[in-house]
Amino acid sequence: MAVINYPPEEIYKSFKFRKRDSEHIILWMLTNNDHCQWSDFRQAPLSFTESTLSKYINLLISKNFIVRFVRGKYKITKEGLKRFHEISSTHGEIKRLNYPPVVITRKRNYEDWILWMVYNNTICKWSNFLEPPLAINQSSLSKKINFLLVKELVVRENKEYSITNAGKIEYSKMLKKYDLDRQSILNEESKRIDEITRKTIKFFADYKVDDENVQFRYLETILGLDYGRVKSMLTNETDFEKIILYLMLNHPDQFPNYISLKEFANKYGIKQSKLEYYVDEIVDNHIYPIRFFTLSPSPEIIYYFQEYGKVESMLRTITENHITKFTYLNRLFSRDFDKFTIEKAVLEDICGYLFNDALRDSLRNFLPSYIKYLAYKIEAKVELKETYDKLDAIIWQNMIDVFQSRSPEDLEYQFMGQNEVNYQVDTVLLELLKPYYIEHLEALNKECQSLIDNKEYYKALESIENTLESEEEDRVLVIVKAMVLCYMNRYKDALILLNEELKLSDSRYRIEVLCYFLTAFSSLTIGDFNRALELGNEIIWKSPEHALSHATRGLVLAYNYIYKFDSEKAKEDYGLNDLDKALMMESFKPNMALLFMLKSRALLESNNFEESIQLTDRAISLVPTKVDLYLSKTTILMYFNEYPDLLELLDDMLEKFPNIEKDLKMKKASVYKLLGDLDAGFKVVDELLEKNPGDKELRSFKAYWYQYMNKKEEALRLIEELIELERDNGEFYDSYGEILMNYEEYEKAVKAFQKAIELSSDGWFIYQTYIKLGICFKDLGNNELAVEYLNKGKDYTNRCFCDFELKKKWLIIADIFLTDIESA
Amino acid sequence: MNFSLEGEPEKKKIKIKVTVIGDGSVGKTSLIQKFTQGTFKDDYIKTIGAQLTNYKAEIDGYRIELIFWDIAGQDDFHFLRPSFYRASRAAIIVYSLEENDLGRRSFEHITKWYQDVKQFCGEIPVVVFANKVDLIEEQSLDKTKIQNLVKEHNFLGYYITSAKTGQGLDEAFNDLIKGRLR
Repeated sequence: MAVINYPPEEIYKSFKFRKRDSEHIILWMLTNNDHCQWSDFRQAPLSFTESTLSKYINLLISKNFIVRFVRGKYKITKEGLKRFHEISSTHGEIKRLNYPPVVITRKRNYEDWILWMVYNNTICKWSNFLEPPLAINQSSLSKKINFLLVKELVVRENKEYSITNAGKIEYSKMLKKYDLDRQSILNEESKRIDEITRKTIKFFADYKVDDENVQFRYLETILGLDYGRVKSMLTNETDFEKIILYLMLNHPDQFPNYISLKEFANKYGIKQSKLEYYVDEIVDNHIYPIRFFTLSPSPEIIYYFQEYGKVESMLRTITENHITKFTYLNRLFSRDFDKFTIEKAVLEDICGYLFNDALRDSLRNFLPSYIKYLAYKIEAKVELKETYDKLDAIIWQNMIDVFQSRSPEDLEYQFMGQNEVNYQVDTVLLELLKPYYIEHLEALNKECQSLIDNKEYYKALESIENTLESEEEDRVLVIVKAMVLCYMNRYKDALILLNEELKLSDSRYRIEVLCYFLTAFSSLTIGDFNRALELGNEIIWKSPEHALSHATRGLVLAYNYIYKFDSEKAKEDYGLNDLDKALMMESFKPNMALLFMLKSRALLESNNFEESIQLTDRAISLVPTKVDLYLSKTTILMYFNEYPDLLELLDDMLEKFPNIEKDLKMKKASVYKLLGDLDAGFKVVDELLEKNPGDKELRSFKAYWYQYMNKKEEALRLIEELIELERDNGEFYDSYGEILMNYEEYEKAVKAFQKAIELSSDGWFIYQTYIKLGICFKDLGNNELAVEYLNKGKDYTNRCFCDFELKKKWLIIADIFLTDIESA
Repeated sequence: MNFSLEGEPEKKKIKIKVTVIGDGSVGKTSLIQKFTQGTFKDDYIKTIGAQLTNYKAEIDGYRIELIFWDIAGQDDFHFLRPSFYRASRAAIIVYSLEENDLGRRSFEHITKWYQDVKQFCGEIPVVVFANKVDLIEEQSLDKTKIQNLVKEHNFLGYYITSAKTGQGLDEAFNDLIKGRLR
C-alpha cells in the first residue's frame, strides 16, 4: 500500500474566514500524491466529515479541477494544478521562498534543486520541496535529502534544512554545470568568498602573512576546503587556518626556505601533534577532495603543491606534451617506450624553470608516480566518444605499465632489503608452492597468479590486497600474499604475516606446510638459521608424508651449507637426504626439477662438479622449457671455468629462449673475454648494439669493452656521451668512475662516484660504488676516507640482495683493501 | 746498525709484495698454501676476487715478510688491476701443465698476464711456475716453449712445480726472494 503524503499543519490547520480551506487541502493532497481515495481524506490528520468532503469533491469535479477515475478514487487535472498554485501563492508560503531558475529545474537533478533552495533561502521545510513549483515526489526527495545529509552538504534541525559550508562549496561547483550568465555565477560565488575573505584578512593580519604568493595560494586553497568537515574534532577554526598556512608556506616555490613542523608549531602557536595529524589527514588521507602532491628533497623536508594549482597545471601540461610526443614518435619509428627518456625530457623542461634545479632528485623520484597518476585519471575518466579522447586513451594506456616497475614502492626493497644483513635465497624455489595452493585459488585470484607468473609482483600484491579486503578469511590468499612479499624482497613484512598465520595453523590446516616453507625461507634471508631449522624439523614431525616438509628442511640445510650460518651443522649435513626424500614423495615434475636444481646448488658448493652438472641436466630433461634451470647450469660451468661448454650452452639457450637474447649474448661476450678472445667478445657486443642501437645499457657495456681492449679514448668518449644523454643516470657515472679507475685517474673517478651516489642512492650498484670510492681514496693516500667508504660499502653489500658469489667478491675486495691499509 | 734488546744486532726487516697471477684453476692458491702452510687440498675452491697471505722467514740475515696477492684468475675486476699490482716487488705467473684446453690456454695467456705486470709494475722480477706436474709424465714434457718464452720476456726463470707434492716449490720461492734481495 502506497504511503500517503499529507499537507503540513499550517495548511490543514489554517482557517479562512473561520473555516478550513478545504479546497486547498484537497488540491494539495491530489498534487502531492498520484491519486487519493475517499478514506484518505476522512482519516486523521485531515478528518473531513462526510458531508464537507462530499460537498468539496463535487465542487472540484464540477470545475474540472479533479476527476473521479474509478469509484472512490480521485486525481488532479491540469486546471486543478493551476488552481492549486493560485491558492498556494495567496497563502504566502511560496511567496516568501526563492525558487531555482528554469535553467536548473529543466533537468530533474533534485540534489541541485534542493541545494539551490537551501543556499538561497535561510531554511527550507520538507514541504517546500514537495510542493509546487518544485513538487519533488516523496521517495525521490527522501533519497536525495538523505544523500545530502550524509555528505554533510545540508543539515537538519527542528525539521528544517539549511546549507553547510561544504554545501556552499558544492553549490558553487553545481552552478558551473548550468548555463547561468557569468555575472550571476560571480554574484553567487562572491557571497561565499566575501565571508571567507573577511576571516582571511584578519588571519593574515594576526599572523603577519605578507608574501603575496603565499596569500594567493592560501586564499585559493581555503576557498576549496570546508572547515565544517573537521569542525567536530578541530574546534578552533584558527588552528584550521594555521594548518592550511603550513601547507602553503612549504610550497616548492619557497625553496630553499622551509619551515619544519616544530618551528611552525612554536612560531604560530599550535600543537605540533595536532598540526602533524591534520597535515596527514589532508595530504595522505584525502579528507578533502583537493589533492596535494609532495616533493621530498630529504627525509625531513617535504614540500606540498596542490592539484590544479599553478605549478601542477604547468607540470601536467609539460608532462602530457612529452608523453604525447614520445608516443607518436615511438609509433613512427617502432620503438619501445623508454621511461628514462620521458623522465629526462620532463626534468629538463621543469628544473630551473618551474622548480628550483636543486629539487631535481626529488622530482626524479616523484615523476614515475605522478605520470602513473595522470594515466590512471585518463583511464578512469575519459569516455571514449570523441576522437580526441580516444587518442588520449591510446597515448596513456601503456604509461601505467611503463612506470609501474619504477614506482618507488616497488623499488624500495628491491636491492637493499628490509634488514641490516640480507641473504639471497633463490626465489625461483618459491614455485615449489604453486601446485599446492593453485587448486585452492578462486577463479578471480587465478588472474593474480598470472600477474605473479609475469613477475608483476606490485600489481599482484595490489590485487590480492583488494580481494582480502572483502575476503579476509581466505587463508590461501594470505599465503600467496606472503609469497608475493618474498618475491618483492619484503621478507620482514612477509614474516609478520606468516607469524600470525602460524598461530592459526594446526594439523587440520590444509596449507600449513606452505606456511612453514615460506616462514623458513624468509627466516633464511635474514640469517635466522636456527628458526628456519626449527620450522623444518617441526613440519617434518607434523607432516612427514608431505614432500614440501622435507623440501623445507632440505632448503634450510642446503643454504646453511652455502652461507655457513652454522659451520658445524654445515659440515655434518647439507640437506641432501631431505632433498632426496622430498624428491621421492614429490609427484609434480616442475617441483622435481627445482629440487634437483637445489641439490645441484649444494653440490656445487661442495665442489662436486660432475654430480652438480648431472643433476641440473636431469632437471632440464624434466622441464626443458624452464630458463632458470639452464641459467643454473651456466653458473656451474662458469664456476669450474668450463668456458667452451658454457659457450655451447649459451648458443643452445639462444635458440630456445630468443626473448632473452641480449642477456645471453652479453654473457657470451664475457665468456670470450675469460677465454682471452677480446675480439670475439667485442664482435658479439657490436652486433648486439647494431640490432638495438638505442639501448643505453649495451652502449655502456661497449664502453667497458673498449676499456678491456685498452682503447681509453673510445671508452671514455662513449661513456661521456651516455652521461651527456642522461645527466641524471647514476649508473653511467658509476661506469665512468670505474673506467677512470682503470686508467688510474682517481681524482676524476672520485667525482664520478660521488655523483653516482648523489643521483642513485638506492641503485642496485651503489654498494660497489662505495667500495670503489674507498679504493680510490686509498690510492690517493687518504686512508681515513678510504676506510670510511670501504666500511660503508661493506654495510651496503651486506644489506643488498644480489647473487651470493657477487656479494662475497665485493666483501672480500673491501676486506683486502682494509687489511692492506691496516698493515701499511 | 740497529740492535735488539738482547744485544744482538737487529735483523733488517723487508716487506715484499708478491703478485700471483694466471688463469683460473691453474693452482695459484694451492701453491701459496702449500708453500706457506705445507698443506694441500685436492678440491678446487675458487678464489673469489683476491686473497692475501702473509709469510715470514729469515733469509741471508734478513727478516722477510712476504705478502702474496693471489688475484682471481677470472679477472672480474679489470678496473682494480692498477690497485692490485701497485707496489708489487715481484710477480709469479702460474700456468698449468695439464694436457687439456685449460692447460693449453693458461700457457697461451702467460704473455697477456706479463703485459699487465709490465704495465702496472714496470720492470720487476717475474718467474713462471709450470704447475700440476704431478698430473703428467714429466719425462715427456717439452720445455722448449717455456724456455723460449722466458728468454723472450727476460723472466727470472721458470720452475716445474706441484702444489700437491710440493715439488719445486722451495727452490722456486727461495730463488724469487733471493732474486728480489739482489
